[in-house]
Amino acid sequence: MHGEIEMEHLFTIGSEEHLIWLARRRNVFQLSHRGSETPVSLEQCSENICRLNTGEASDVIALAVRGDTFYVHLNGETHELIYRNVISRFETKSARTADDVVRAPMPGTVVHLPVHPGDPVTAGDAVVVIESMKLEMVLRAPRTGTIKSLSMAAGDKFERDTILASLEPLVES
Amino acid sequence: MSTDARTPLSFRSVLIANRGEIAVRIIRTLRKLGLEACIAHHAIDKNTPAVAMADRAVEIEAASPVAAYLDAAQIVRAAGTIGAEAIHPGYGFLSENASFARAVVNAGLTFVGPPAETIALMGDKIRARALAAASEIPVAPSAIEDDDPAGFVERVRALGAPILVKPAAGGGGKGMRIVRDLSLLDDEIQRARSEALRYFGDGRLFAERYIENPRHIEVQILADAYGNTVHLFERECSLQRRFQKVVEESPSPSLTKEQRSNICAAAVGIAKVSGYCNAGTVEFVCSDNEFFFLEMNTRLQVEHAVTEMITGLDLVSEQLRIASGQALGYGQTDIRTTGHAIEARIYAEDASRDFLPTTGPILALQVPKGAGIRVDIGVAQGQTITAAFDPMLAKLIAHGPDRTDALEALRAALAGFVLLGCKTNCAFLRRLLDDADVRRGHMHTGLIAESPSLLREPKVSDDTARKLLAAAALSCREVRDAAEAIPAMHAEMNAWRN
Repeated sequence: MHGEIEMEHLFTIGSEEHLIWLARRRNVFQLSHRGSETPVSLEQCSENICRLNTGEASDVIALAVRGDTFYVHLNGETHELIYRNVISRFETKSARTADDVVRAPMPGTVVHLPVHPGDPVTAGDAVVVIESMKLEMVLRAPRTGTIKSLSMAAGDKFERDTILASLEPLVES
Repeated sequence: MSTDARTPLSFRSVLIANRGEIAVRIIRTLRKLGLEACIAHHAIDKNTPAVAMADRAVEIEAASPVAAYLDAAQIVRAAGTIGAEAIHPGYGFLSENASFARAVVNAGLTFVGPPAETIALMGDKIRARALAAASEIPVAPSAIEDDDPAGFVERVRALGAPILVKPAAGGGGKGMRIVRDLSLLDDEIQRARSEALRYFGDGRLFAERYIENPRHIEVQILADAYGNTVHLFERECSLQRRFQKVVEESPSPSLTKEQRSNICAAAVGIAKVSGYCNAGTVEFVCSDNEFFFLEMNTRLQVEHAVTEMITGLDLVSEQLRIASGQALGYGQTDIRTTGHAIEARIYAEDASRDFLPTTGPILALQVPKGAGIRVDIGVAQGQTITAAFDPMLAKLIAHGPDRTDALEALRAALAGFVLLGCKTNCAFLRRLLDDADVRRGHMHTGLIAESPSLLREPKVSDDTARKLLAAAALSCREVRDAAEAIPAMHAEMNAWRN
């Protein structure tokens, strides 16, 4: 489950969100988008001009990248796409979900897990101890609650923004 | 009719007191005529094409970039330092500043434009209007309350509906009332007066005939110092946003042959009575059956290129020859036009956000080419578009045998204009050219404001989205890394899962 979430990527085109994943099979990239899968490839022709192949279609496009923004000129029109990781989308869905999880502030390794699923915690309690850039760091509970799950074991490596621990959601009273 | 390569001009070196596309365009003509091109520029423009193309460049300084281009004394000094003998002001900035024109002449240099007195006359809208009226050139019927306060209401009534009543001290559309039913005139005048008092602390009013769905039509004039005045026909500039033109064309699709000849004659008339000399443009506001003098612009217009495309004349070359004291050397009947030309202005702005100016680096730039396509552009790849200046980046001009061909060529040219890194109005311009009323030539200055659907960006289709996402995903480090990290077997399983 966890692996699948990591594979998916969120892009926005204008105000619309698009969730995709890209896989490499027998040296061909496959793009999965809205339930359909398409073999895709990109060949650079000159500095900013590329040939884009998507399934049977082939288009000459202009392409430029700046940070997380992708500028694509296709069929006479320029479009802007912004790459956002999958996690940031969940953040914007509900303000409260941010309080339900403990996220990795940077890439690193899990050193120690002082709590177990089902344990009650108070805001500020140590939940995960990590090592990153040769420094040990304690990640603390964002609020008082109960540990729902821990996604990693001691020794596991993780990327920035990975959810390391989750709290049981608060019940509306 | 070729007017180039004749008698040498009275100056060999010309300083351009401007920037961007118009500076590039002026340099092109200076090259053609074998003149030295000098440019005065603010440091922010150091890496722009105009500065790179110029034979000599001199830096001007000020608290802000715009202030540098408005510093008349410094620019005249710069011309002296660099050894230029004439100054071309382009459009905007100091181009219609009478004291600048005077300072240039007083420094012993040639000003490429009309005499300072003409600039001052036409810059005074009330004097210009009075001059036009005295010369029997139609001006919108109007009534100024101050002229005879007791008879004001009756004078307004005599204008005939619809009438626009506005505060004499006003501006920005505040306190303006349109009266379409004359039986309501007394009430509307009272309301306008109380609003004028509230907004401006001055209840005096001014009224003029209001034109419903007005069109903006202007006439290009050339006049030499020997009393020869010709027109180069009209340009229709009715497609405007925020009172600024976005698309201009010639000939106008909305004038009859008779209207065209009347409006051009009126323009020549106002140029003659004002003793005009050099290139100028007389602007009119038009309804279906009337036209009224609006103002005269005493400079080269942004949209002069459409006139060049249909007449084959180089207006900058004509300006330089006239400023140099040469006679036109041709008369009205020598001026012939071929086909139709349309220009679209490319702005760094977001049409979907009410034309908010945009900024950003130009990561990639590709301009369309082809027969009948002209691109006047002042920016280059690698340059960053800032908010320091007007957001116009380029003009695309298409010339074709008729309007339909020219529109189609312009549409294709817009599709081939690639500027990545800073949002432009290109997609909006294509939607505008596809508008049914625009295609039929039924335009008025409120068309864009009344068509909010033109501003909205349509949703991309699933097919387009998939292509865009493929391009972005394949050039996104994180996505590629993730794809490489998935073991082949895992990827196979995912494929089966669906």
